[in-house]
Amino acid sequence: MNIGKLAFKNLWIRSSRTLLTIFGISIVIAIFFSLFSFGKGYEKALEGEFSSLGIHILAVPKGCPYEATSLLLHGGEIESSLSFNKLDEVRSHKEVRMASPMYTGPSKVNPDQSPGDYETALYGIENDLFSLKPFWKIAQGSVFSNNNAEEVILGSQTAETLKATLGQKISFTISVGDEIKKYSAPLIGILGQSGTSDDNFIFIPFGWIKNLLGEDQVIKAVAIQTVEDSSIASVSEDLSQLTDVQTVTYRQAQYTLQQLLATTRQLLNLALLFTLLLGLIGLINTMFMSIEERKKEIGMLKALGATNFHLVKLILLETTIIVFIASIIGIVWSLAFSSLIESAIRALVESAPPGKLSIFNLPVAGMTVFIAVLVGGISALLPSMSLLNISPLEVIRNE
Amino acid sequence: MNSIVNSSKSPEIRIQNVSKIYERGTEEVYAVDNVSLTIDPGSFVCLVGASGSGKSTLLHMIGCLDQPSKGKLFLNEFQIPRSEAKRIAIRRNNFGFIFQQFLLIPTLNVEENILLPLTFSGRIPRKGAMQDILKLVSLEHRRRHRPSQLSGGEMQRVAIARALMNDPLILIADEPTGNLDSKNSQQVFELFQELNTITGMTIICATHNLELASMASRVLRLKDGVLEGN
Repeated sequence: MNIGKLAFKNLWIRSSRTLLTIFGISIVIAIFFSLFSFGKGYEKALEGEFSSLGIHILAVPKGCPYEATSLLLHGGEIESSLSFNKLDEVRSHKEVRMASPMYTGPSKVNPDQSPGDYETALYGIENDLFSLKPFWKIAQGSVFSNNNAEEVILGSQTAETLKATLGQKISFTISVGDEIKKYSAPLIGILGQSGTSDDNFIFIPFGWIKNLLGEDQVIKAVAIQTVEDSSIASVSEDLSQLTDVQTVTYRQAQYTLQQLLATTRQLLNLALLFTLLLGLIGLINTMFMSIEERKKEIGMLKALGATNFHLVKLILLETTIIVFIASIIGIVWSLAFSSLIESAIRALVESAPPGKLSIFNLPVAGMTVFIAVLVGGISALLPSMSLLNISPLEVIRNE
Repeated sequence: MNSIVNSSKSPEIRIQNVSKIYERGTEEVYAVDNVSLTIDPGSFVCLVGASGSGKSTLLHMIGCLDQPSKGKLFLNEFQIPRSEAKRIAIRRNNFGFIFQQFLLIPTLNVEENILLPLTFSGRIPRKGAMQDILKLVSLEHRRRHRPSQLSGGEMQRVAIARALMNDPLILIADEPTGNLDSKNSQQVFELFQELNTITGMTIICATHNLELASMASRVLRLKDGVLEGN
């Protein structure tokens, strides 16, 4: 008989309370681990999204360039527009290899036979954007026959959701002033899966949308590729001197979004701290109750020669066993419910990058178990101190 | 093995003017009042007296579970110190305890309960010790049972076996038959006699049953904390 076995037996005999304690702590651990994994996954997804782009600079109307960038990446409505003069000025810069105008706005899409409307973002693009987005591959059909054609290309996810086939007429809405108008055009191409938000969009030629909206309302951004990577900063600086134009390099956008994420993570960490604190208080309370309940037993162990060291060791072992099992269960829970948590995050954070936001990471799992056991040990120390005052005599007399 | 007492034989127990005083408000209550006596090695002593006479209190002080308010206690020439840590060490190495309430751990089976003192003393039992002890208390067939599956008499025999597992020099029994019927009580005292005769272990037992007490080699009477006719 050793103290470890005694600890196991003590937990086993009080199985209901042990299981309840493990359940409670496992929830705290699941939250803890999910937040850790989410942070890592989000950073990786963001990095992947930016690194796959061939676009070096985005020129957007004056306002918040980072918000505009995020809206362009993930589909949203940008209120103001750039004039065609600005596009010409951008294109005339000697260090600009390519400048492709873009339109983006909300739209409801459906193939003719589909019963409901599928809400997504509509993009007006020119064919040359394909060379700025090298990860875009046409899986079925072709690119636009020309930049003024009345044709539609769908992202892979949209095509799959709508069960759309080539040649089928696709209807979509577009905001023209205060009105929402409906148009339709044949589906001439379906993009391959890119793992980015683009999978969810609908694309029409920029020239066609220019004809529908007029020149003043159509350019929401200009995607720019420079001749040399080294000239990105200077080109961005030059173009930002243009009236009503702001520029943002993709590196800046990535950095800013990561900073925003870091701020969010600090808030999450605060919530995490409170969660840990609650778990800690709960565990302290449980261990206090456990000791109070077992005063007689502890007094008897002291009468049999147990020192305070033996008893503190016993309580610490019991706590460690509980917390260790709860950690493993918590991590399993977190993994099992990761898709649910991811959906919740996507619902809350519109600019969340595509791909898996929460990734399993063995070192993070190990660290979670370590922190949990450490916190558990600390929380057991305080109740253990109450052991020091228990006298075997008190127990014998109180019988 | 018994570094403090420095002997493998039961020590002489010497009690010098020992009192135990409790404060009740401003009043001082003497649970044990100026008791002096010597208990020879290997004797079987019974402390008798009515409830509240101070026999348990005196027994606890002898067994290092409690300390006197006044006076001194000696094991051979060694004076029992006031430090709790040192008294635990003496307790662990020299004494075995049996209580009225058995105080068995409900989560452990008979064998595990008996082995418990070794967990804390770190001693390794000699080969066959468990079998011998179980045979002595006639519980060989109950070794895997939990306390809840035993009768009162059997539980007390487990407690006796547990007290013996550390090879104590002195066995302290505080009202060991208080929860037992007369047949089981008789068996427990017969076992004490047997142990005392075979091992030469000092046994000090508190009881209010005079008939059982007469089985001891020496009977000490306490009344209101005072030792009568030693």
